[in-house]
Amino acid sequence: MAVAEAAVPMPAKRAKPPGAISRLIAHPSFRWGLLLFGLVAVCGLLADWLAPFDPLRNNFRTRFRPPDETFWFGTDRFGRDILSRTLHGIQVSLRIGLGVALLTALIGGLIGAVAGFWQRADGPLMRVMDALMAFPAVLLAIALAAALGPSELNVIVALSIAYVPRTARVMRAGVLVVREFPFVEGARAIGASPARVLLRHVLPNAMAPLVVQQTYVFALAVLAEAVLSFLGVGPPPPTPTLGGIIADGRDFIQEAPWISLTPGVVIALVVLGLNLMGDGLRDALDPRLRTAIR
Amino acid sequence: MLRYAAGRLLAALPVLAIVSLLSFGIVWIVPGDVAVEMAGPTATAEELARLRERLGLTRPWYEQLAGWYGALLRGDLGESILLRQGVAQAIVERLPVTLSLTFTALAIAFVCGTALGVLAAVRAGQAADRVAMGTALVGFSLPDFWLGLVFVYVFAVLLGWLPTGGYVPFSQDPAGWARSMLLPAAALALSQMGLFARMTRAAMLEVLRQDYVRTARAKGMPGWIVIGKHALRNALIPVVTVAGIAAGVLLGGAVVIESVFSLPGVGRLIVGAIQRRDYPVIQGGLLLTATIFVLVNLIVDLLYAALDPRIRHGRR
Amino acid sequence: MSLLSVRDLAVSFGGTRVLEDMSFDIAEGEVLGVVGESGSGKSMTALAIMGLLPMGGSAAGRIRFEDRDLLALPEREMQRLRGERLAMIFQEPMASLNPVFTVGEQIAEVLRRHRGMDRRSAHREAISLLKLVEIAAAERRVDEYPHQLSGGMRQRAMIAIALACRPKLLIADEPTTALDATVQAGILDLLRGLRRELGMAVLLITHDLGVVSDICERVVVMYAGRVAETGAADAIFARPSHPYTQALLAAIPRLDGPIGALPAIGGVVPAPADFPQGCRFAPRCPHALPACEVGPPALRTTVSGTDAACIRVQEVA
Repeated sequence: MAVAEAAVPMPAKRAKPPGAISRLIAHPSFRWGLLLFGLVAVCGLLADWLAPFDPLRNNFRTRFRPPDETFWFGTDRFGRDILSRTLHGIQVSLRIGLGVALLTALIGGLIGAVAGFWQRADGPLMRVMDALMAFPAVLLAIALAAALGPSELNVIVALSIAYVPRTARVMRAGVLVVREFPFVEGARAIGASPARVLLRHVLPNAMAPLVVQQTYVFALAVLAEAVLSFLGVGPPPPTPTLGGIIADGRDFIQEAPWISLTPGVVIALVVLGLNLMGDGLRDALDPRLRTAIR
Repeated sequence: MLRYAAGRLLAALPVLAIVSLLSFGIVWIVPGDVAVEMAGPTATAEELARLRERLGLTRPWYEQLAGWYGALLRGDLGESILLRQGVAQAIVERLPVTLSLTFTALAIAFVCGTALGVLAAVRAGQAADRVAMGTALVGFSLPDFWLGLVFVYVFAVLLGWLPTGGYVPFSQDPAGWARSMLLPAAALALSQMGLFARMTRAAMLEVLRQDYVRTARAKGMPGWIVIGKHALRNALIPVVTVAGIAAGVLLGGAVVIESVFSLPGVGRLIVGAIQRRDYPVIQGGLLLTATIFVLVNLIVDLLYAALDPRIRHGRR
Repeated sequence: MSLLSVRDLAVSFGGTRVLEDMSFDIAEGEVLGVVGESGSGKSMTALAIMGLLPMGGSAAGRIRFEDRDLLALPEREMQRLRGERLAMIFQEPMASLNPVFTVGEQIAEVLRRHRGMDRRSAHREAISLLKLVEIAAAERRVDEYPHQLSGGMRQRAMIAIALACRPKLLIADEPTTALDATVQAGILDLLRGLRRELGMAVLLITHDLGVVSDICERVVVMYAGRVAETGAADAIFARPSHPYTQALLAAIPRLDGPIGALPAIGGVVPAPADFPQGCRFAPRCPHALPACEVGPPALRTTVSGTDAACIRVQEVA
């Protein structure tokens, strides 16, 4: 059998063709995206060291301070430093965004691969995905997060359920293309088991679109987490969240617009960075995808 | 054409069946006792028992489900615990607000987005292209509810041009309706505008390479007709298919934008219901928005066929 | 006086010249064939006349049509000429028709633009144009979409669009290449009949010498962006002078000729960036001398009365 297997020409086992990394770095969108995202992410990760104040401590003497040299981005109605709260909020956003991107990749990737590979499972699985897609993702996530109860993990689960159909669709489309390639036929012909064909030959080659899609899902999850926190169904207080800070400033938009301003800009930077990276990845990993996804 | 329409409708039915099942099933994932959650920790045992009775929680799950589907077929979505009103009625009362907001935003996003995309495609590689695509990218990177707050601050608080919120029915005062819709719809539209712009640009670049565009020029058609008629009509075909998806995203966005602008729509009803654990309203609201989404996509499918004669005739 | 007179036409993309020193005339009602392999610059000649060069292309020289210099004409004026006095049909009839409009709409559009017709009369005229190009059941076909027509019918519809305003000059770029042999003959018959009926001149671009011998009065043979030989069709077919023309003619299988190996031309047409300094055919020419590589040969009159760009034309012919 080993001889026969060697005779079937196999393409690169890894999803990335050679030179993908260098093409990626050379891509201006990816570079700028990485820079933006990286900058904000590092600030978030180092929040414990960078934050000038305790993000949770109330101080009634410093209520509603506009931005000045002590409080760079002002304070809220409890006198809490907006900068410190925002830095800690970034951490939460990134944890949730990454969690959603990974969880949907796992579940959506599995569903999409199974649906694309076994025709019998395709119909039922994709009907359920269609039905999930019929709910506006944000609304579904709000309802699920509320029903599951407030916790960071539940927010990740709720958002993952809401965004899993997109990932499944992308994965399915990729598998449908790859399964027709001659080397897959070859592997089948020499008697490899379906599971082996799927895991060893189909999945690695259908990975590129998934990677691109998950970058966008990361961005969508960061945006959606902000909505959930804004509406009060995100991670429970006192955890500072970007959406939560915007909500704090909402009733004082006339008197203290700075409260809502800063976290919104930070969300935009993170999401913009991720979207730019997604565009770069899309171009570098597979130019044919240019218009196919997102 | 009729057969095509009937086919699309038939394909939507199983999706709707699963959608209603999922809407109902949301109570099943509530950890612990739904009644306790709804009534709060201060409720007496007697109150809890009454609530369970009203929600039908005392019956086995299959009876609950059968009851839900039976009521659905009669157009009954159950009763709101807190509003002391039928869920269907509560939603229908607020539906015009949500639909005006969603479809105004969709119109803004579609018109501005395709215009931006056409401009970018015609000037591909030039400065105008980069500016248009940069705008699109920033557009769908901004959180819409935050953008709504920024708009309120700039246009209502600082400049005083438009109201900070509130809703004026169209039938009462069309100008006032437009003023009340402009800011929330614009905030909501921006993200999907970026999406439309990117789709349109890609589709236009593809179409502008086609031979029939050269034919139109060989016929002596002026540039704006070549682009605006011959090219755009073809480029819109793939763009229109995303309009259905965009409508869904906007419907979801409307939920939070309504809260920002104090618009008395379905979104605020649902958000309120979520905060107060009014499950019948949550179930009904989820079912209704998903049904609207499925219907909009049916319309989009028909529009798609209207735009592309090859689909109408069952080719491709 | 000639209807169209092209002098020293050159087309370049960026720094690369794909066509140069192109000169020819078409008289009113005349059919001129432009022959060459793909990449010889024949399509670029047509597009330059129409002012429809692809992005990045620019034309130099003079193209006089009636009494206007087309290269100096502003785009607005060109738009008035195109589809009105100057019309063009293309190689791929499917791709050349817009899939989302009916055939009738696409014909009527020309009439509405150039003739100022209203919707009704344009529609009526579209039907009679479809009859003119011999499409059966024109009343029904006029409201059909391109995908509902066969390949031959699509090309007929394209011709109907081109002829809507009875142009003085019709440029046909490989009009039959994408069609089946039997359909080809029908389209050529139609073109021949129409040009007699309407008295228009035709610039027929093709790589198919059979098509040229069928309907052309005069021929321009092109090679690698330059004219190789030009003259009356009869003279060229009877006694080709340029080695390239000779090779081209020898490559046609003849029914009355001997059956055997076809004398193929060795090598391929060079890409524009690799055009040789001297005679561009020299690297493939069996008669080439070192002198051929000095510079591009000028056209000189041959014994058969054609003009050929070959320094050895007296000996070779």
